[in-house]
Amino acid sequence: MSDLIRVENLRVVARSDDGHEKTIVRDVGFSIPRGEVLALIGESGSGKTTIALALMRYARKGCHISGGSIRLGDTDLMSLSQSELQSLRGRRVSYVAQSAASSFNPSMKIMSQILEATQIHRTLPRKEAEAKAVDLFRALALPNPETIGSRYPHQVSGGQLQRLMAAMALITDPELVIFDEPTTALDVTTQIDVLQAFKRVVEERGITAVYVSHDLAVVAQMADQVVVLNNGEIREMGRTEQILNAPGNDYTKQLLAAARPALRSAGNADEVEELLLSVEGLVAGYGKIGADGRPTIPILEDIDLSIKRGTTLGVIGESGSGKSTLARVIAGLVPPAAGTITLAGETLPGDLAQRTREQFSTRPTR
Amino acid sequence: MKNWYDYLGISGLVGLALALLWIFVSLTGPIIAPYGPGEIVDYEVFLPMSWEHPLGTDYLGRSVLSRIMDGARFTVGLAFAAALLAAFLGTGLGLISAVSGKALDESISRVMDALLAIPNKIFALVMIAGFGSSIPLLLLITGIAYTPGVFRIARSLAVNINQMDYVQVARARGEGRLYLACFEVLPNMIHPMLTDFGLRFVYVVLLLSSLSFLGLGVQPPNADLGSLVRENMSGLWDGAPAILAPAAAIASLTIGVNLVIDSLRGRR
Amino acid sequence: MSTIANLFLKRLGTSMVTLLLVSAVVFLITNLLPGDPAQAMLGQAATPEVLEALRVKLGLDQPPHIRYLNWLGALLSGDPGVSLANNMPIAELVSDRLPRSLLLAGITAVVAVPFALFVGIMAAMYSGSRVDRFISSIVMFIVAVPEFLVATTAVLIFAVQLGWLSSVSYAPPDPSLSQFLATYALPVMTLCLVLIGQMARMTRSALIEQMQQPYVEMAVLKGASHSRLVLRHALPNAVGPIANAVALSLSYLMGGVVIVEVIFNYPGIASLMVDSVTNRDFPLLQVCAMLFCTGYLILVLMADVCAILSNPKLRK
Repeated sequence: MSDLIRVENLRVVARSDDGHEKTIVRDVGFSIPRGEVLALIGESGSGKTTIALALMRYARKGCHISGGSIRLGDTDLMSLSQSELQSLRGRRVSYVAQSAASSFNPSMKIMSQILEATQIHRTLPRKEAEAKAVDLFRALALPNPETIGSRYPHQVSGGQLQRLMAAMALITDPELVIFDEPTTALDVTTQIDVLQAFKRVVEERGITAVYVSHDLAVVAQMADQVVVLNNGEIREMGRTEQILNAPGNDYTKQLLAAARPALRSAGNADEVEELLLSVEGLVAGYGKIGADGRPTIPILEDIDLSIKRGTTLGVIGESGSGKSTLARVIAGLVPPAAGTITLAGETLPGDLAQRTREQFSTRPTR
Repeated sequence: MKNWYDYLGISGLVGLALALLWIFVSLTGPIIAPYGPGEIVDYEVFLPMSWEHPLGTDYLGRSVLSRIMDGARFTVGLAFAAALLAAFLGTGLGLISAVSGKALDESISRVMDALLAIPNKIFALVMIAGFGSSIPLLLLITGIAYTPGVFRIARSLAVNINQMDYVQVARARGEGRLYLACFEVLPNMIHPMLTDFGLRFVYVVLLLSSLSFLGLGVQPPNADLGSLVRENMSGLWDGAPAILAPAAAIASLTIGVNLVIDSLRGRR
Repeated sequence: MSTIANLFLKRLGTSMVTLLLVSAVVFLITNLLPGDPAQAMLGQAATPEVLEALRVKLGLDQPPHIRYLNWLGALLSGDPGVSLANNMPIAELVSDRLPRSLLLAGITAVVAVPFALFVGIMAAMYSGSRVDRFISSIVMFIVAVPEFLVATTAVLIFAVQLGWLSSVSYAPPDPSLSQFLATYALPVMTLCLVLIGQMARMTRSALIEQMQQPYVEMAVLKGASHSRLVLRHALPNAVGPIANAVALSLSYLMGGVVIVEVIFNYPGIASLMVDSVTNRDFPLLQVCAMLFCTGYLILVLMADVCAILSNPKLRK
């Protein structure tokens, strides 16, 4: 059987506090040939992570696998005892979680945690395991591969931690690696780097993998097969090219459409002349204003923008770029260090307390 | 509609039953007790349990059952009132501290920290030495003793809620501080503060009983459950119910309330 | 290291300021009494001149803040005056009683802490099982009831029913080991029970809280055994909260020792303080209160230090 994984009729049930049971995964089945990558896609709540965890016969608190069969090679997972499961997890199947920051023990050095699986399963003596880890760091394009292991998790960036988690998963040469939305928690720019590193490693080593994601662009790059999930059920399943270019199922079509941003019809924005809000030379941040007129923690630098009456201005940026701060300054919750805000021709005082009631009510309501 | 069992579980129900029992006794004790608390019912002291005197007699020959039923109102009533006082003062100050400017917040917090730095028993002892131990004073003293603890929790809750978006929005609408404190912050604090109230009640019962046990709490002719243990100390050697029953009474009260609180916490 | 040192110095500074405030509060309360202490001491028959002389002697004619500073100075220089009740120098009384209380507290801590940690870790390891539920119930009972109940029950069982131990603790000057044990057993046992209850409970919940963290789930998915999870992952991260809990519980000892010393007639500083309350012996009361508060603050400071040290983000 060239299929590494074969899942049939998988059923997972969740039990709430008052005893009610709800089926969260229903009649799921798929198989993955050796060396291929299968993507599980769907919106949040569709059951992707539950199915991914079930491949190790693991269910989170309150859930249990109530039916179906899961085969890894020749092994029937449902028939294993607890200790046999423990020897399987981390050794034949490993898991790369969504949030690396919370998956690492904050008081253990990174290297010890990466090597832990080799110690539990006794796959390699320490020296060799360390050397292998450093190799993996290099393969994942991590900086300072020789020394990064001696740091603590909080001393390393999010993107690096995510790659370190992949190293942690690969150190025991598992048969199957499960990637559970590993780039979702990262900034867009970091995502690209991390994804490339994963892709390279998966291809080089011919790893069989399951990739959970809600991001179709990512899936297009990584996967050979795609399973589309909704509400715990499979909507459609097939090769990647087929699903992305010629989807058969309506839900799949909806997902694809949603992934392509559609331009909102501009309406009559260009016809409106009246300027409502005008911001000039805005400098703002948090903390005391220093001698140079800049706040202790500067967030916004020399911002100019204008909004016409009846129109909407979209502000986008990565986390930490200052979007919320800008909104707060305009609303008067954070006083600006420099610059002016003009509403309907009147200069607005920076502090909420100094604004009059009229200034509140002239703000455009939607 | 969930029933009581779902909310509390077995241990919670047991606790609730105990708590309700004591509330009932404290409210009706003196009326339904078989004898008056000062009435000497037998010439034999430290009698064991019997049908005639279900909890025996005390060191003067009075009915232990009646004394307990009479004394419960002091233990339960005082503790309840003191916990209420601590809750009001602590929550009020905590709210003020959270929505006010830094200077006021700092000064109130410093004073509260200083009070918190005095162990409760020591504080109570010092206050009693200075002012005496009449009933109103005991109420004030035990209430004030636990106010800083309530303050700390209330303030920390209020500060957290203050930073939530819906409060920011209310502030941006132009609402004043008093409105914010009463209608935005306070309603969201009620649930954890209720749990805290239950805990404070238990602490006050323990403190009060200990003070009475030392002879510094409720003074004769009144007697709360702690005083009952104290006056019947010599019955310990005979294993008389006179000393065991009031002690067990206190225990059942505190354990009962604890059970309710634990099960409410667990369910949430 | 300097960040830790900085944090520690800041905490130390705050504690000292708090201690100062506490001394002001204690002084304020004991000096706010209605009535005239001089009159109370000398009775109705004293003449105005004698009363005035006593007032001057007691320093009562000075304004309050001067009196406070004088008192503080005397306290810090080691000679806080004379006890009103028995005319002995307070310093002497305290130096006689304080070591005994410290001995009691010390023995209790040494016995209780390891025991409590063991019980707490066991309960967390087998959490949810019958063992855990049983332990938790007992612990809950002990923590919920007043100390005098634990003490009287202990006396009832061990002294009255079993006749093993004496219920009055006074050791002859050069006690043999068995005499020592017999004297200290009951008070130590009582204090221990209460302390173990608190510490075991907090240890267990600190560990369980760690067990619910995502990094523990990650370790499960690596195939870690249950004991490995508790001992190698949860425990090192729970050390801070546990040490914090231990220090706080020990500070709670300050209150518990009052009851125990009184019940067992133990000649320590807590029973001295209770006597001073009964006798309205204010100079002595003030000193005892300050001693307790200082001890309490030291323990709270140690608890904070443990919490700071255990934060890996502060390690270089």
